[in-house]
Amino acid sequence: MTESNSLSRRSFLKRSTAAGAGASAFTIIKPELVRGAGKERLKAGLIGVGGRGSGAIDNCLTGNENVEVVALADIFEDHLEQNLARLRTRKYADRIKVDAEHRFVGFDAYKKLVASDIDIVMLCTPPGYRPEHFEAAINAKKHVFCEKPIATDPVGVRRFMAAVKKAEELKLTVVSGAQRHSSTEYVETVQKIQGGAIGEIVALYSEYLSGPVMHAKSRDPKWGDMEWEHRNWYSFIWICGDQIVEQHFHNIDFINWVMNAHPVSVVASGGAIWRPREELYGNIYDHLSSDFVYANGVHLSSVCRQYPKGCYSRVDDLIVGAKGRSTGTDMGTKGINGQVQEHINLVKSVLGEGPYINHGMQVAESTMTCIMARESGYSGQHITWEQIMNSQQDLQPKAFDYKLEMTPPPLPVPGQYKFT
Amino acid sequence: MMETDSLSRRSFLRRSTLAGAGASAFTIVRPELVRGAGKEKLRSGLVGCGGRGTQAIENVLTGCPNVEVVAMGDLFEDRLEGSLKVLKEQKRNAAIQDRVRVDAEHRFTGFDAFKKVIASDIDIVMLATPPGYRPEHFEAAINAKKHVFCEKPFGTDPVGVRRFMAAAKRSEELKLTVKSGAQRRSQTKYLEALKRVRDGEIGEITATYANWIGGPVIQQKARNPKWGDMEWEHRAWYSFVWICGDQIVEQHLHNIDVCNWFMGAHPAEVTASGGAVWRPKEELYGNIYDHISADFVYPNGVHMSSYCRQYPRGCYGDVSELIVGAKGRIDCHKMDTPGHNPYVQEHVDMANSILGTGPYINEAMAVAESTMTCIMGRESAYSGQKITWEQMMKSQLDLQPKAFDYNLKMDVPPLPVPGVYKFI
Repeated sequence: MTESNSLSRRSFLKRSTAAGAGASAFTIIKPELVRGAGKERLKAGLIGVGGRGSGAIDNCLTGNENVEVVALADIFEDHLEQNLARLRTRKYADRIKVDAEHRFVGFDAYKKLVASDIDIVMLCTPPGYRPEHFEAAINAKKHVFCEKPIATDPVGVRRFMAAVKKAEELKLTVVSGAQRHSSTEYVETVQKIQGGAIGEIVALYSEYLSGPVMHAKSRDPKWGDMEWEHRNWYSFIWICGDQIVEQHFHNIDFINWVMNAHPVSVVASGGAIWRPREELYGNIYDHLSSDFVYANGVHLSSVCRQYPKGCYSRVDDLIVGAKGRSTGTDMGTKGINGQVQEHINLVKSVLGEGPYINHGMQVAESTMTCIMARESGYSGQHITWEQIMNSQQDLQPKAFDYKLEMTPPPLPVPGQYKFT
Repeated sequence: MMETDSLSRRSFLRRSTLAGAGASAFTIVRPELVRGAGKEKLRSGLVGCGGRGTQAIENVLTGCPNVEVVAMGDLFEDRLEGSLKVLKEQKRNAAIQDRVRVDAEHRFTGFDAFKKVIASDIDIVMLATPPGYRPEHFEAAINAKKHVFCEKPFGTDPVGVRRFMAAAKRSEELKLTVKSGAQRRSQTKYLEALKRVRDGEIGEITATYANWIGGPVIQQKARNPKWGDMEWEHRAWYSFVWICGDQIVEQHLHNIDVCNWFMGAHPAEVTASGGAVWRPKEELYGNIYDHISADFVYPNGVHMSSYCRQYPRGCYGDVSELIVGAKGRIDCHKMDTPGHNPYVQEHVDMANSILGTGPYINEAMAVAESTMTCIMGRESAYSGQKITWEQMMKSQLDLQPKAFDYNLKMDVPPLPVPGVYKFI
């Protein structure tokens, strides 16, 4: 598009928005016609300008010459400004084109970004917000790079799933931050496994044994509850999901991919063995072991933990077949960093130069798998897929306000904590 | 043996004991010669007269008409008397009580009661105390050349289990029968499952799973103010790691032992995690965990996924073992095979071994290795480290008190926290 076209489109949008037309004023039936090959660049906007968000921009602009970033949104101005400044020192700085009117701050920043003149929305906030942001992006008919996990509670996952269906109908590209799907080592190995290289799969193992993720050292007395739970989000279940959802997702999503299925039930146990009962540590567990069962009776023995420095750590998977075993990467060749490749694949899908990609339902099911295990650990119950798909648990705050008082629920205790 | 013989033997023993001769005054070189087939009775003595010990007597007397119980020993007189009361209960034990013949001189109490039981004129020692004591008791029984019914687990720390293993080797050399309380080894459906596995029905074993997902074992409602620390830790022993071993050792051994048994090996290493998520930080709950999940790896790379927990009433429960092969799977506890009561059968098997009317049984080393396996899992969870078998076989961890005295003050070590707790 030439400059005057884009100007007029932007002002058209502004008038439409001002008139309350809401989302994008034209319907994209065949996205490849609106943006074709050639000199134009795809425009991307980022919601959630933290470490992962700026990393995603780095990945995207490194992998693609024809993308520029034109909008940023974050709850916190300091995050946005600090990371914008960093991005401007990089080699792709000429494609960081975020003017003052497109730096959106606050709780409704995401709405403004999604309403702006962009082709791709990158969703990189803490996961509690993902369903709402994704739904808004799809309603605005944007292509989406969507970090994992995609929710922190069953109601959120189902909201996401509904938007995925819409994205599929609209042929909108959805690439997730589950980068193994874009990593040749994994892709080739999975193809070989699914082709029978190790025989029928008989047992699965995944472990994420690592150290604590703490985003804050202490609470600034100036921060109200809501700001505190955003600045220190890892420690709060509603916005983080706990480690099994936020981090161990990678392994569980990978195993679901290998099995081409999600588990039908789980029994999990865990707790907080070293995390002190102090405000900084919130209400999440520090270890959770889950025994998942797939429909064909195969078990996935999963363990995740965030233990103090010096404890044993390892992140890996093991797929045991009747005729052999695989680590998940040992039958594949090393290619481009998956986190870069996924953005290359995304752009190709958007432009119609590569296969259409929509990871949405897959990562939604994987997120639900993780939540199912978390709820089993918290409640001490055996939980099935049906139960989690019917669960009415919705952890999100009912209002977003810096003055809002928020009392974190206590650390879940089996026998007391009720799965709903 | 005729009545006069046994009387004279008993008085001989008493004189020997008074003279400080210690253990049994004659050496059993070929036990099958001392006890042959026929009308003789086997004499047994019980060390540890709690719930399990009392039941073990009921089991052995039910299964073996030629066994009688002639000696009992317990730390606490009330437990010993309580046990005898149950055994003499007409409604419950009419069929067996004539073979409960523990006269006043053979009811031993106190910390050295076990020595006196073992020194009595018995053929079989039944060890059913809390597990911290097992190595010491087993060693004494073997030194006295007794056959042993030995409740599981076989110790609570690596030093203790290695002490047990040394006595186990000796028991093998002496061809003494050692039957463990791991009753699945005598249970029909497990024996059939094992046969199916060994016959190749499920192909090579590719994965094993062991669950004890159950409820809490809490032996006291509260601490009696009259009890000093040592008495308290014996009355509420489950809550204290030195004497109980924690659930993975005390209870989950059953399932872990099945996996080792079927694999024909013990694991080479383990990485485990756990904690106390519901147990309050109160005296009654001691310093044990309430859940441990362990990923054991056998030398050939096969994993055992072990889950044990004691969660409040109303939580999910499952006690089971699953053996997965290349060509199939066996859910051991679901096998629909009625069989003999394994708690009785294990004594029948033991008696047959002693008398030579059945195969020789010595489970000492096998179940000692299973016990060490469980402790290895526990230490991995407590410390947050990966632990190998070699490390366990060298570990100097010895949890047992250095003295046994009711006046002794005992500080309970804190709940182990990974990163703080050091595996030694």
